[in-house]
Amino acid sequence: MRNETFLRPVRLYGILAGCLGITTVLSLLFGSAVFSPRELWRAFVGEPGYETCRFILFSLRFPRLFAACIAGVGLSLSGVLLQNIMGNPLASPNTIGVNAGAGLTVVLALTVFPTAILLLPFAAFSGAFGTSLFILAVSRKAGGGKGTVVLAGVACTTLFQALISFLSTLDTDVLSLYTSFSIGSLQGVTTEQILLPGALVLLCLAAALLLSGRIAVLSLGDGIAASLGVRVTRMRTVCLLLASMSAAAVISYAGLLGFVGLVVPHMTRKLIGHDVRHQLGVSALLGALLVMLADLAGRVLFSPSEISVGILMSLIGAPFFFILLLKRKEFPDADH
Amino acid sequence: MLTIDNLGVSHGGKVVLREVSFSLRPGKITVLLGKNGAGKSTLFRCINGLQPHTGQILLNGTPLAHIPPVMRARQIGILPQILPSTGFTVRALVSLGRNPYLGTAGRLSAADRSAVENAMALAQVQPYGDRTVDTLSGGEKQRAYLAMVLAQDTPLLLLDEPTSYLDTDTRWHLLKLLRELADVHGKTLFVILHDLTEAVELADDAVILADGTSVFCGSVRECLIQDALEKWFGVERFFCTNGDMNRIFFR
Repeated sequence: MRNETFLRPVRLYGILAGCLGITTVLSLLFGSAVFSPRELWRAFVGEPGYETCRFILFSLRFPRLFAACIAGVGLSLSGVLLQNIMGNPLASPNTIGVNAGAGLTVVLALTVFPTAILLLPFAAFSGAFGTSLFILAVSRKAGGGKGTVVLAGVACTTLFQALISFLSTLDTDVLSLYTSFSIGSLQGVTTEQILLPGALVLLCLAAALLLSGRIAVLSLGDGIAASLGVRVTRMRTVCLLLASMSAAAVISYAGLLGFVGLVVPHMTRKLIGHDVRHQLGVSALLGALLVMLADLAGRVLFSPSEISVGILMSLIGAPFFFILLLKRKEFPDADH
Repeated sequence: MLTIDNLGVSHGGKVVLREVSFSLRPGKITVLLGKNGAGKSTLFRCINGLQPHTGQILLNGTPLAHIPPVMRARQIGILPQILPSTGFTVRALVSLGRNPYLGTAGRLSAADRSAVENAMALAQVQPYGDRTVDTLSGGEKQRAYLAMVLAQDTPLLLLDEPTSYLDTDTRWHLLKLLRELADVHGKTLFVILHDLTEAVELADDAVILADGTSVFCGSVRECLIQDALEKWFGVERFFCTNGDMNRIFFR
């Protein structure tokens, strides 16, 4: 039987890095204002007469570019970790209640402090991370298996969505503001907003790369992982924390950007195979590329109007999700 | 080597194992026999640290619970009954067997790579080393996971029904390999088998689980002398003579 042909990791990294470079340049050139490469270069080096271009470049486009990059890296990382440790191809940050937790605390913040917009990123992060800690605690009490994590996540998501709907119904202003958050957008993001989340995402990525060998073993199931010296419950907890922190950091400034954490790990497996030691790096680059492209498309295709990156990701992700459901045999089984 | 001392396991009020006690002789093959539901796999889970239990499991005199998981993994390799159909290539899967020896960064050294290749050669999986495990037949998958356990290079191997999914020819090759691992490489093997004929042919010692406890622990020779298999499995023993070769069958 012919084996699937995967790209060699080094070659794939090269291709993705090249695509990222091209996308970066395109993202800086195009938008509501279009620059030529010469203008871009002159603004970049600080030539006089290009102050407006320089302002757009450094105050608007670069921060947005980094925000898109970090969002792609963070959500992809979260998705790869969750799908591997849970042995579930449908696992994503939403599965462990991260999105719902963030949404609830944002709605609560909007209800109690309707004018404190600056509070929202902290509310989102604390809600996302706090929910995942709660789910971890519940699942450990119930035995610590991956099934209990998923069930606890589903229960939390259901409850929190109901509470969100309830609070939104009471106050239509809250509903309007929450809708924008729930779609996911990078519009108006500043450098200050992404510094801390960016550092957190990169830290989580570095930690995951260091642990990639043990994560690979864990993906074979608890029995084999334990026999190969992995502390199963502890490693699963660490991975869940990394996945949660990474997703929470992105949610704090980008809102509920959907499908990245679900779609990118699958695309990565198609390119590089199932070895999580390669998946982590490749999915980080691929996730960054996807979000950057989606953001660029949203800014350019309907210019001067802008379609938020969250909407575009859902438009891409939903059809892919259906294809995934129809081809379920692709993902490896893991014993429980 | 490994000593089980008064082991007990309960599940939701039901006693699965009680007062199980025996020791494995170093460099020998011990077969674990019992009917379905006797608790054989549960016993393996206890040794693997995944099943709470009473009593003690001692490895070279030290309680297993006091040994860090990584150190335990360098001493005991376990081939489980259920083998997941992963998308790893065979070579990548076998390399995971070196996990107990890798540093934090998880990079394979030259010695690790050599151990991987040796394990693949021993288990005869080199022809499909670059294929993914989920494209293999049941028997090929079994050998791939056996190679992973061999790459772990442990003095003690626990094998849960290693001959299931294998055709007759492959079964005999595997049993021959297990014998070689004990006789030539000095490994201690603890093997769950359902085929009593294979068990008697392969093993030096036997442990029989019945009614939740160890009802026989001793050499296969003693087991045959005491008619333990006939007593606990309700089978009949037959002899087959072919020239100067005598074989025992159970039915």
